[in-house]
Amino acid sequence: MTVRSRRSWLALSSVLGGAVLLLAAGRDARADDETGVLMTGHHQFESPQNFDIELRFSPYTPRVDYDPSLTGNPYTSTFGTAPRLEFAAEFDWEALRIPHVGTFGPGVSLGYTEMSALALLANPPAPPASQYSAENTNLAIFPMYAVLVLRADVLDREAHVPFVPYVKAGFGMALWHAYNDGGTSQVTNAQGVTVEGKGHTVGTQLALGLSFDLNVIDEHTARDFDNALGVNHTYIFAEAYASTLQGLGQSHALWVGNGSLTAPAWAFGLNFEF
Amino acid sequence: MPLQPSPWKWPVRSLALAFAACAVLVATPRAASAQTVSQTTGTTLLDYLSDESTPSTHPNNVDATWISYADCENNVYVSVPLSVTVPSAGFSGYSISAFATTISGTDCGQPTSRSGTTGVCWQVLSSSIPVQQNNYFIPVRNLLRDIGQSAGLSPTYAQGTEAACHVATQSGAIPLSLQFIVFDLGGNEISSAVIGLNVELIGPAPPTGITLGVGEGLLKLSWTPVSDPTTQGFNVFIDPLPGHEGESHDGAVISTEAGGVVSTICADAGFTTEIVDSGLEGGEASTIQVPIDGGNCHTVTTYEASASQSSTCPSSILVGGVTGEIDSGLTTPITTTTDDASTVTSTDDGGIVPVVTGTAPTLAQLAQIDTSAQIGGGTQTSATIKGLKDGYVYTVALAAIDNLNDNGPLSTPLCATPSPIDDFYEVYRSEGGLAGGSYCALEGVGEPAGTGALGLIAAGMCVALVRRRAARRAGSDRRPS
Repeated sequence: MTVRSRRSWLALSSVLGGAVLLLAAGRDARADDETGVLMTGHHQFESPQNFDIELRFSPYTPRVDYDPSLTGNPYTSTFGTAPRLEFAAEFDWEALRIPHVGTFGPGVSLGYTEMSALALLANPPAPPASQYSAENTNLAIFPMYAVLVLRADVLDREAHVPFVPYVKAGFGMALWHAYNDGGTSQVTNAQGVTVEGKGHTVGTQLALGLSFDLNVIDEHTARDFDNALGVNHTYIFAEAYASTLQGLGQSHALWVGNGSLTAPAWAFGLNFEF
Repeated sequence: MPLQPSPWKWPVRSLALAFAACAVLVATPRAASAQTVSQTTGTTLLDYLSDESTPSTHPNNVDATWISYADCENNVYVSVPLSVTVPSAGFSGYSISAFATTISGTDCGQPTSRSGTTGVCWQVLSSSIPVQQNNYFIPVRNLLRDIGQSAGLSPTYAQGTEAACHVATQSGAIPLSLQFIVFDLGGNEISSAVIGLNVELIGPAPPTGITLGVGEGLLKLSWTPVSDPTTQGFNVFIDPLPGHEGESHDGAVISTEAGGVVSTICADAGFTTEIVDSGLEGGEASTIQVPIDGGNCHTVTTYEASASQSSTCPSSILVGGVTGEIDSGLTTPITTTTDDASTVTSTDDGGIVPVVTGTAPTLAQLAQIDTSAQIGGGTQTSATIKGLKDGYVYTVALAAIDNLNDNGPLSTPLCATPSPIDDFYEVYRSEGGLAGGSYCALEGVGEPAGTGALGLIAAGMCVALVRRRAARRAGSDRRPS
């Protein structure tokens, strides 16, 4: 594990631990204020909680160029180094409630991200004329994964510390599609066969995150939200993850994952438990 | 002594009665001649092709009171529903004519408006013996015939020709007054009806800031947004038409194939890279992959990309000719390098250089060059022309259209040569990547069943969780309270 990766994970762990200690320290005083009618009412009217939905936003840089079988950096030379934005949604089934720990269950996610740039001319004119065509070259990626999720909401539920650390582990897959203004990209391979620029890549998905329960900001509204729509908790979250899509079990794969164990990617968003 | 009756009394009376009878007889047709002509209430003008039976409609539900360029080119007739009262003695001796004028408030019933140096009305319909009918067909070309002419129009009826389709010199509607007049035998106006029309033959001005970029088998046009609210879309013209590369118009070759580089790709274990003379203009070298051994080869031809805005674009249709001059600001001699590397030096012309602009193509020309690529919406700012052949020079021009689909003036033609690109996937494959082919794992080349196994594992985990929870609930239910 590199120094950078250790720092990333340590940073998240420090934030998590610090927040827990800080809020636990203030727990008694806050409990004095809230262990009355409000909290009793809150639990009294809380609807059943079985599911969780996440709306995720993540800077995305597919790790195409990390494929050791490549002789160059096709992704960076085409699209540059700037990350693109991924939109994703995750649905979790909180199938089990582990007493004094939290919820545990499976979850699935589907996302989308796309990168676009002007394509280089195969036979460009001499400089200083532009080496680029007017045609766009694009790579669309649909990352998805199936994971098991453990959400340790014991602090939030029993100690009223509005932080919920969680961990996810499972398998990921992404569909990808390379295309230009003329349609799906095509190349003719050494056998003279036309190969289209689309496929899928399989790998693993690991994530460690921290959610902040927004219910503590306005418990009355939170309770109304629960009574009206059945939403028990609303969180914002930050998550470090490694979508290691490197062709697990595949002979050839386009490495379209984002982040790694040594250099995790980040996701931010909202999630709702209901 | 009683008066004796005059022997002349009865003949005088008879003569008086005869005169009176004659007067009555003569007066009767005059009274009957007070018939009227008016547009039939509740009906509208319709357009028909020249067979007067095939309807012709405008785009965007524009009614027949508008006359478009296409109406004229298609020789459309305007059908005017009229109501003419029938004299008791029939129509014999009467005539109905129609006149058009662009001068507002002009009464074409006045002879001075139809003849002489003050004539501003031109005759568009002549029916010396009108029959009783509901609709009168007026050729659109007749209506347009004398638009733009000064006073002193020919009073006689003449059929309009295709030249009438080009009478307008600028975009915008031209109000036209169409007046039907019933004349008696003496040429006196008995009644008339006036109908208002609008003529619009030229669409809005073309957009500015047009650029033409090249791609693989395509060209991309872009332009700055237009502010003219009458712009309803754009027509893209290209010469040659895709699929007609290398053909000619009027005996002149209008497309050329640029010199290409033929590369050979073979199915073998490897390639070697060689730097070769590309053979392209300028002689710049390029790098190609050369197979180590032969066999199972195919060739790929690549071309140098180019895009230019020039009067040398090889289209005899879209490049209309010298139509104006501008001050270029040039103060030094102009040196031009030709294809054979020789140079031609011309003297400074004082900064005044000719400007070549496009001309509005005729329908016949459009049939040769129109890609039928019509872009709806005046807010559009780009278009992509696909289905082109790499290595051919295409000339492209753009015209804005109004709600009648009238083309405005053509933009300055641009020409470019589509050329192959190296997109991301091609770069990836050229650098050793082997992924791709299909989304489906079972169809992918060299894909083991790993994907399916992973899916089965995930599904199995879900099922196990469900069953475990169900079992727990069942056990809880059976547990005595």
